[in-house]
Amino acid sequence: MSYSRSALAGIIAGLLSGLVLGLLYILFFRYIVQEMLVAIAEVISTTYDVPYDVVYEQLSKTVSSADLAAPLVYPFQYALLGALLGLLQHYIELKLRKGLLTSILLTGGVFTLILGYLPVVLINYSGNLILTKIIEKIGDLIYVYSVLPGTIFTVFLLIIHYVRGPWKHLMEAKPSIY
Amino acid sequence: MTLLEVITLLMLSLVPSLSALIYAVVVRWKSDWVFSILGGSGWLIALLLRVPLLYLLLNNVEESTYLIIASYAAGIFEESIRYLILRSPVVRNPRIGNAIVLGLGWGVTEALFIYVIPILTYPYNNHNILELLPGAIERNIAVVAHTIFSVLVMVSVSNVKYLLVAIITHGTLNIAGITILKITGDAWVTEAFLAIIVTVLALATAIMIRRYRQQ
Repeated sequence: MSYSRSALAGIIAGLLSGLVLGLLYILFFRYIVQEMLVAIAEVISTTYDVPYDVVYEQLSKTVSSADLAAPLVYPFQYALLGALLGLLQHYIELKLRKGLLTSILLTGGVFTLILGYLPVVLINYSGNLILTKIIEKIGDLIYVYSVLPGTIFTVFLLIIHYVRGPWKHLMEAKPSIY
Repeated sequence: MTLLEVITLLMLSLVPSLSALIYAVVVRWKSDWVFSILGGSGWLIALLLRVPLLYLLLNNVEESTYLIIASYAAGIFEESIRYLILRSPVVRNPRIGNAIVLGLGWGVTEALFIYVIPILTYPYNNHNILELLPGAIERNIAVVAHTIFSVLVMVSVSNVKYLLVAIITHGTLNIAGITILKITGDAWVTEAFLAIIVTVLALATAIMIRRYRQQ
């Protein structure tokens, strides 16, 4: 498989992961975000000495617009991430001489650890008031949420490589490449 | 702002770079379109990697120090990832066209995430079009800058000193923008200065490409 086909596999896995995460956001996460609005508005209001009502209204408008954008932005964002992760999987398989399954699992591990878990740990130590409030509100579940995108992406990458589906004809090289 | 004003801003920020990207992929270099997506991916991953580190610094250093670190962190993270993509053994023999498509994809994605999506989702009811117009122009300047950096990094595959040049130039360009805005307080003057700097950089890069091709 050429590097562009591996990147394409990552893009498709990312797109599907984004659709699932967008759906999860609409069904579950946005209610958590709405619950946190009051706490975040309080912190901003006291920190920057701005009337609470003004902050809350502005935040509510932004969150409702984000709710509308989420189903589109999530798939786009994860499809982009998937491109480079697909390339990473190709690199691990081809240059580090690992099997397909190992290369997919390692790629998923890198995604989960470096782009999911570690940022949450670092932000937790940053001491930022707003972020601390968010982490307090969600509790230890934040660590579960942080590994969710990487896990979903890995599952989809496995499906794309191992299951014959409508994506297979996209993954096959054109005759000119043989 | 009216809907027409929003559409005008979005078109000004995206149409020139998207047209250049389509021209580069379809007509001029017939480059692999995957490079444009890899460009977007590179920008996003560079951002996701450095933001948590910058959060750690936010409350611990002075504002001016933070801005200098953030400016050069953008240079270090973005150019290193660009280098890893173009230097990757799985991407064999990247061409100038591939680097240009990578840079255009990089800039278009940045424009989408930091200008287009906020304009569409944030309630800018109290702003007029002239306040947000410099941002749209800046996105076009940034796309040209990212294309220049991509070419510099591509050349650095054979001569690694160009990677350092790309990192320093990127960081310095970011600091120049912040400094000019702080001194003048005028977004239009800032964009004019940035446009002049990027034009000079583009000319220097064009001369470098000519020499590179002659080697």
